[in-house]
Amino acid sequence: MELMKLGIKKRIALELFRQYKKNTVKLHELNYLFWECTLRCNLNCLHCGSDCRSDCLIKDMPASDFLEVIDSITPHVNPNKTMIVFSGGEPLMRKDLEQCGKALYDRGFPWGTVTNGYLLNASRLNTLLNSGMRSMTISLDGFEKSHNTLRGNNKSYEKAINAIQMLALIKDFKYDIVTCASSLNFEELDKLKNLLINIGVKEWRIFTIFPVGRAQQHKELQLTSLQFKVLFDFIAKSRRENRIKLNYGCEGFLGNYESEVRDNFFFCRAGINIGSILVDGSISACPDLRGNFIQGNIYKDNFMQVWNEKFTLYRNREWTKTGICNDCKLYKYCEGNGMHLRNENNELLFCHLKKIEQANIN
Amino acid sequence: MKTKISRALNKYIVFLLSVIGFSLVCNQCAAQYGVPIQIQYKMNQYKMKGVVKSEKDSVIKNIRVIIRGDTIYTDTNGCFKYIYKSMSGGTVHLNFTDIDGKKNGNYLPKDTTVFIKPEQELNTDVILKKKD
Repeated sequence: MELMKLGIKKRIALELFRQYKKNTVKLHELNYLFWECTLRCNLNCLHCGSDCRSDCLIKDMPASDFLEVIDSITPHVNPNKTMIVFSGGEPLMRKDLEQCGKALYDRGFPWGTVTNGYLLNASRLNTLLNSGMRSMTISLDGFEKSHNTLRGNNKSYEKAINAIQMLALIKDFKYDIVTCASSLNFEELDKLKNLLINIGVKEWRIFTIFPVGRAQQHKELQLTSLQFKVLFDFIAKSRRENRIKLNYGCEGFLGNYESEVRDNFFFCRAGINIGSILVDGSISACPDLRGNFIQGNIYKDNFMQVWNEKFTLYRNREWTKTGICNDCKLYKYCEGNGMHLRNENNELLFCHLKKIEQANIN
Repeated sequence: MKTKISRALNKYIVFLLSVIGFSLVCNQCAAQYGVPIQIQYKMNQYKMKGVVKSEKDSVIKNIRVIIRGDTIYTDTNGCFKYIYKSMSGGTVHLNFTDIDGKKNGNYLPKDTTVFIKPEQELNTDVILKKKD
């Protein structure tokens, strides 16, 4: 596939989509809010983006503080169309997750949680569902050996599979399985697809390991440029087979692979539609965006005021046109890749296009 | 006004994109490690009812029944009824407790778990044992 040379139909579509993005930025409607409800975690993943630990010294935010923010934003958003996502750490480490979920449900907010599945048994799933949970994501990073190695726990694979099997039995429940593709599990992806199909999973999401958090110390886990390209060919092929709904994650403009490897065109909605409240009260976009990406703090600022008056570096991304982005022919469609792929100096750590291009050159 | 124009323009763009075969490209996907977006779904109604009786088959009134954190009481015929809405069925835990001592007989508490399916009225008759 010619990566950079876009066909006329796709170019027209991308031009239309550029206008769509401009309008969406102008509207700046909050519709997806992360709550980093804990940094405690029962696993010790080699590729963890937030460097979570079981003995984390940062205390969980009290649910009442979070709900106070929810009450303050409720008059400004349509609760029924604002998805709340519990993230972590491992959200199921919190024992009051159900009470918090029920409080959101009572206020009309749909909510969901991401989990490694370790603490998810039938009774916990039942209480979560009874508290109005509408969506869930479970991480599965390969078969037993690679998953357990990446997750730093020899029972994590078994627990994750049990959790997935339980979700597969629930009729009409929205969930997906997310796999972080790395050098450890790359060769297993095709077999993993068959396993998920056999269990009854309908939606699978793959993203690629990126050098943030603990993954920075494990450079051997990064995919080679050739593996990177083969991965996109695999996703495109699987989508054509249509046995499972497979999407690449939200990041990275992918040239001609756009619309071939995921439903949507690339659009980093961080700070445009997506906000987050971090464990210490910081107001940000996606939870990985820390440091100078933080826009305020719920213990000092009004969330909605910050959302409306700040977040300018997210809404106007002209500042990203430096470094390798400066002379990129497709910058206008990408606008500097996902914000979470920028370091504290705002430099881009990873360019998807360049990595695939590298494979084509080699 | 500007908001309305931007929204209308976006609807038009979505339409144009679907005409040229790119119908899903404006969909908002799950962000990073986030969950899939699910803002609409069908809520199912669940109904449970039952009669609380003694071992001698007499009905017992004013027994406290705790279901899903809610508290109800049996009526003069020993009957209780509970209706709730939820997305999914599954196991429901019920706790029956005699709270008025000897007034309507003196009975031991009882816990029971049932499995309930949507749109189904589940009968859960319970027999309480007398305290010695």
